[in-house]
Amino acid sequence: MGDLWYLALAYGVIWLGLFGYLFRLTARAEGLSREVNLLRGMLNADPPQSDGLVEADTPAEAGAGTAGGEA
Amino acid sequence: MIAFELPAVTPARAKTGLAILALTLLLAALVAAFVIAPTEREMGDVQRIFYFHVASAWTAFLAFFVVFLASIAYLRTKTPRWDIVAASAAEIGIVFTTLTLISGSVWARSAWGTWWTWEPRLTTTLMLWLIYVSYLILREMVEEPDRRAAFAAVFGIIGFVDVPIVFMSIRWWRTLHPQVVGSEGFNMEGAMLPALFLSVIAFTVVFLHILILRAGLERSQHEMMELRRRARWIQEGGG
Repeated sequence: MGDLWYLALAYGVIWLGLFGYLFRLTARAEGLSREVNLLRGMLNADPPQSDGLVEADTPAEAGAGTAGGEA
Repeated sequence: MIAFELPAVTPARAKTGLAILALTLLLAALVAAFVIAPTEREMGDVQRIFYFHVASAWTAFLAFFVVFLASIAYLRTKTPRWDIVAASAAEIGIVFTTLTLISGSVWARSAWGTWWTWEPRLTTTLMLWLIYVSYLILREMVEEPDRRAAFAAVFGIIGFVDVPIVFMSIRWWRTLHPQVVGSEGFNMEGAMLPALFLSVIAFTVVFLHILILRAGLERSQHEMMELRRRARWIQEGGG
């Protein structure tokens, strides 16, 4: 096998690895976002849960505020 | 209650801008590595692996440094945000260490005639990979969030000790690995150095982009767990 074959293999692995990981992260984020929105909708649709549970100091909101999304 | 010092979500426009910048820099780095950088006299074209290989190793070190800093910040403040940053950076560091090991192995097959040899740089890098894989396994094993974050933070600080060992291994021990940074600076000629710097900058921006994505994912997971807990509480008659 020549130099170019090894060069192509190394760069191929790096690009596939990077974009594969990014694709996996994006797919997981979309799935989670759908599920979070669904759960939010379910909880907000139910009248007894709507009062008090969406305050900023509930654990859910606190969790959202501590996220590393702003990393 | 936890203070809201920063916006919960990075604006979508900023994320998109960073993604475009990362992709542009990656493509520019590719052009620099293949077109602008000269062909190395002894190794030939296979030496071009070096640009993305070194950039990948740099990014792994940077990711583990972020784990180290975020772990210290967590232990000082007990703020879950730092635990999220540390966990996210550790996973990304493992990905880039994996890419470094594989690309290095491909280069070694061409230059040394073997895919792997137990020489100091390769061995310490493999140890680094194993340390941070253990870090993620530890996180999976402890269920209680505060204990998990505290254990992981201690592990993240101690684990970082291997990073300088990896870097210095080619100076401390006899090794086959090429020495890019010697006592007299960079051992490179002409346009090789700008090509390397461009690759390092490109990978650093890619790292930032992935860290934001990964940390946002972790936040969504936390939020989902909390929503599920609330839904269960309501189903059980708590509401």
